[in-house]
Amino acid sequence: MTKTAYIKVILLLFVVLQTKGSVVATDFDSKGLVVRERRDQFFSAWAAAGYSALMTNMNHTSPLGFVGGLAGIGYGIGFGGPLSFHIGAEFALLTSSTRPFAFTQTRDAIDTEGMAFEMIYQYKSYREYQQAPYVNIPISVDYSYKKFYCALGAKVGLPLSWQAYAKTSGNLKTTGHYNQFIEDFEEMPNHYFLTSKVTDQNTLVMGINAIVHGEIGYNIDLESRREYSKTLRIAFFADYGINNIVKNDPTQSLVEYNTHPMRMHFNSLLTTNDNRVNSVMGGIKVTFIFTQHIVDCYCNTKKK
Amino acid sequence: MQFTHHRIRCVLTALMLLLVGTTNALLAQGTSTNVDSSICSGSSYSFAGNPHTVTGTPPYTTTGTYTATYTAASGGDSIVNLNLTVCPSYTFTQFDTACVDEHRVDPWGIGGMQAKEGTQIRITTKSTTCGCDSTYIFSLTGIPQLYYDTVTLRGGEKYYFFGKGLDITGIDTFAATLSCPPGSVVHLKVIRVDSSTRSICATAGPVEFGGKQYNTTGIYRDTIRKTVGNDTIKVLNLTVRDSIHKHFYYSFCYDGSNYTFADTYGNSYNLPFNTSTGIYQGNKIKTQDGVCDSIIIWLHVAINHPVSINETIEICDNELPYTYRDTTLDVAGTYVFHRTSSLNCDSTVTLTFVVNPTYKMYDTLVICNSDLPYRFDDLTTFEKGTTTQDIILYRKTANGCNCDSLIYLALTVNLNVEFTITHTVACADDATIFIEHTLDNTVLPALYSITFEEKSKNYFTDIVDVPYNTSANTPIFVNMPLGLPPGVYPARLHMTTLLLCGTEQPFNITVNYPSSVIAQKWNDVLAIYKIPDRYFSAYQWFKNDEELYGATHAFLHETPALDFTGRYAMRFTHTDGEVLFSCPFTPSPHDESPDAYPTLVSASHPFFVDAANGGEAIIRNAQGTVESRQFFAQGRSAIAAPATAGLYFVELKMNNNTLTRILKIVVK
Repeated sequence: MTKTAYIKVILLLFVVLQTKGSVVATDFDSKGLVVRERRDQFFSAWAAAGYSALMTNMNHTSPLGFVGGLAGIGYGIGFGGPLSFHIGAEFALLTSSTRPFAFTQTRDAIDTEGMAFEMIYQYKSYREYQQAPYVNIPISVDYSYKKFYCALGAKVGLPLSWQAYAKTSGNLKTTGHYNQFIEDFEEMPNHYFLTSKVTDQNTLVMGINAIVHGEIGYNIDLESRREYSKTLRIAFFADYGINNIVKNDPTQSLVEYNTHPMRMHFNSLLTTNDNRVNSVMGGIKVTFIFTQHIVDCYCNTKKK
Repeated sequence: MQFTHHRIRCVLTALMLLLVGTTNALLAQGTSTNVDSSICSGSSYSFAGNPHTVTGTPPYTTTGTYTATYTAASGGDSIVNLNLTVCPSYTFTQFDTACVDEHRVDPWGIGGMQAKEGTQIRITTKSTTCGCDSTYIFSLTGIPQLYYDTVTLRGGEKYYFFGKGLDITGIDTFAATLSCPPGSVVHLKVIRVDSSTRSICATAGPVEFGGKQYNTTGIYRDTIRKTVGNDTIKVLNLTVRDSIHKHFYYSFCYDGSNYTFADTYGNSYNLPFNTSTGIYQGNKIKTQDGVCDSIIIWLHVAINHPVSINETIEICDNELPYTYRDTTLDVAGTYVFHRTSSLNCDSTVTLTFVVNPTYKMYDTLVICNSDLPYRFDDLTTFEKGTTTQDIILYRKTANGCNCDSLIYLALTVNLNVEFTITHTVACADDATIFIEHTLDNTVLPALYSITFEEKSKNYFTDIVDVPYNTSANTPIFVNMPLGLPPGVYPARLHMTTLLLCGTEQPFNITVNYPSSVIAQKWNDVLAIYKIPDRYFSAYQWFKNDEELYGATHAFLHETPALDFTGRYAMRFTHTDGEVLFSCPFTPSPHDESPDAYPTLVSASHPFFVDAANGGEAIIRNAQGTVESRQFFAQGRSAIAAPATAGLYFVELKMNNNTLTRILKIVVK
C-alpha cells in the first residue's frame, strides 16, 4: 500500500465520523416533547509504553521481548451515552529480542597444509535484537461506566520498513576437528581456532500488521464545563497482531559462511524459517481527552 | 586539793604577771623585787617572761634562792629574787589480816574496808600543809572460813599455813586465833614421797616392788592410799647389774684323744674325746665386790672328723694333659690323694679319671654368595659376607660322652654376578629392546636368561641360557615382537657365572609409543594421532625431558613456533592408570609459502591456493597484463582461471606483505 492510499483511508474514516445528525442523543420531557438533542466530540492524544515482542514459535529459541512504545492522536464522537467511537493515528515502535539456545555448526574445510578438517563453530550467548516501527490507524469503541471505561478495537499497522532491522551479537568459539587427531584444535588464534565476539545487522522487511486492540482504564476529570470538559485517562492496554508481519525466507541460512573462516554473515532468526511472527505489545497508556459538548435544542417545538 | 606542776606554774605565772604589771613603773625604773614560792616534790619552777640573766639552772626542782634579771622599759635592769621552797610528798603502807567479811579500819583513820578472800589494796592521797599530796596504802588480806590445799612433802618437809607448820593430812582449826567466826578450818591433803635405791645382779633374779617383778634398771613408783593419814608414794630407783658374755671358738680334728685347751682368761679346759660339736658354758668370773658374775665364758667347740672323698672326672682326649689341682694327669685311671681339708684335718680323695675319645671329620662345601645366609648341617649358619675359608666346627658326639667332634670344613663361597639394570625402555617401532645394565663387581656372567611374567608371555618368549657376550656394548637384548602394543612388561633377568652362581632381578620392559604418534602441523602445532583401542585420561607434554607447564591437551600450540631442535614427547595417562610416554619427536620447519595447484587448469575453471594467511592472487598473462585480481583466505581457496587458454603468471601476495610468490599456470 502506498502512502497516498494510507492518507485516503484516514480521511475517509474522518469524514464518516464527522457526518452530522446521523447519530445524536435526544432528551424528552414528561409530555414527550423534545427538550434537547446533544452529542460529544473527543479530541485526544496519548502515549503508551510497555512490553513488546515479535513472537515466533521457532524451535530452540526463546523470545525475550523488549520495550515498546506508542504515541498518537485521535478523534472520537459520542452521543451522551456510555458508548463512543474513536479513530486516530499513532506511531508504534516494536522492539524485541530473541535468544536461541547455544548451537553449534560445522563446516568442512582444508587447512593451509591441504589437510581436511571440520571447522566447528560453537555459538554461545547468541542474541538478536529486533526493531520494527509502525504507523497504526486505530479504530475503537469505548464503553464508559462511571469513572471506568473499556475499549475494544482494531489497528492497521503500516510498516516503516526502512527503519526495521535485526541486530545479532554473540560469542563464537571455533575449533578444528581432524579425524586423525585425538583432540580438536582450539585456542590457536593464528589458525582461526579462537573465541571471539561476533555482531551483524540485517534489515527486516515487515508487512502490514492487523492488530486487535483492547484497553481498560480509569477517567480522571480535570475540568468539566457545560461546553467542554478535559479528562485524563490511565489504562492498561494490549495489542496483538493477528498476521505474520515478517517476510520469511526458509531457504536462507542463519549463518552464511565465506571462504574466510571467520568472515560470516548472520541473517535474522525471524526470517530464516517459515514460522509466523506476531507482534505483541502491552503496557500502560495515558490519554488526554478534550471533549466538546454540542447541544442542539428544539425545546417543546416538536413532539416525537 | 591537789595541785599539779602545771597548775602551780599557772598560778605563779599569773602572780608574776600581776607583780610585773604592778611594778612596771618600778621595772622601768630598774628595781629589785622579792618573791616567795613553794612547789611539791617532783615539780619544777621557771621564771616568767624572758629574763636575760638567771641564777642556777632552770627549771628549778630544789629548795633555794634564785635571781632573774629583766630589761626594764627604761633600759635598766629589773631584778626578781625568788625564794623557792620544795615541799616533800610521803607514802604510808599498812598490812593487815582479817577474816572474810570482817571490817577493818586503816591506822590513819582515813577509812576501813570489808575483808574478802585474798588480798585487796586501797590507796588514798591526802594534801599536806604545803598543799602537796601524801599516799596512804592499806593492804588487807581476807582469810576464808574453809581452805583446801594438797601438798607433796618429802621426808622432813612441812607445809606452813599462816605461820603454822603442818605435815599430816587432816583438818586444822587455826582460825580461832584470828578471831574469825567459829569453824574456820584448813583442809590439808599431804602426800608423802618415800624414795629408795637398790642395785642387784642380773643373775640374782627379779626384784618385787609394789606387787610387781622388775629385772631391768629403771625408776618405779607405787602409790599407797590411806583413808586416814598421809598417802605415800614409794619410789624405787633400781639398778640391775648385767654380766658380760665372752665367746671362744675352738676347732679340733678328731683323733681319739681328749681335747685340752685354755681361754684367754687363764682358764683351762679338758673335754673328753667323745665330745661332740656344740656350745658349752665355761667358767664365770666374779666382779671385784664378789656379788655378781661379771664375765660368763661360752665355749664353741667344733669337732672335725677325717674326710674321705670319691671323685670322678670325665674329659675328652683333646683336653689332655689334664690338671687336677696340683697334679697333671695324662692317663685315665684311679688316683688316691691325701689332703688336708679346709678345716686342717686329714682327708682322702679317690679320683676316678676317665678320658673319652674325640672324633675328627673332614668336609667340603661349595656355595654361591647368593646362597648366604647358608645353614650348614642344620647347626651352623654362614651369614652374609662369609667368604671362602677353612672352618673347624665343633659337634657333640652321639655316644653321650659329651666330647666334641671336630668337622674340618673347607668352605668355598663363589661370587655371584652383581648387576644393576639401568634402562629398559624402547619405542614401539624399535626392532630391538636393549636391557641396559652395569656389572657391579668383577665377576663376569657366562649365561643369561630372561623369564617373562604372565602379562608379558602373550608377546614374549622366555630366553634361556644365552651366552653373555662380554665384548658387546649391550650384550643383552630382546627382539621386539611383532604387534607388541606399547605398555609395561614385567620380566626377570637371570645371570649365571661359570661356577654356576646365578643372580636374578625383576625388571620392567617399557615400550613407549613411537614418535610417529605425534604429528606436526604448521610450524607451531603438534598433535597426537588417534591410537586404536587406547583411551587416555590425561596428557602432559614434555620438551627436552622437562614438563611443559599447562600443556595438558592432546595438541601443543607453541608461539611463535616450535623449537626445531627440541625433543618433544607426550606422557599418556591411560584410563586404567598406566602411564606411558611417546618417544621423542623433533619437529622440522614447514614451508608455509602459498602454493597453487593444479598448474594445468581448464579455462574458467577454478584452481586452488593453499596459504597460511589470506592474500591476493593477481593473474597476469604472458605480457604482464593483469587478467584478474582475486582474494584468497587462509587455508584452501578457489581461484577462477582466466577464460582464455594460455600461460599465465599467478602472483600470490600475502595480506601482511610478508611474502609474495609467483607461480605459473597453464590454462587449456
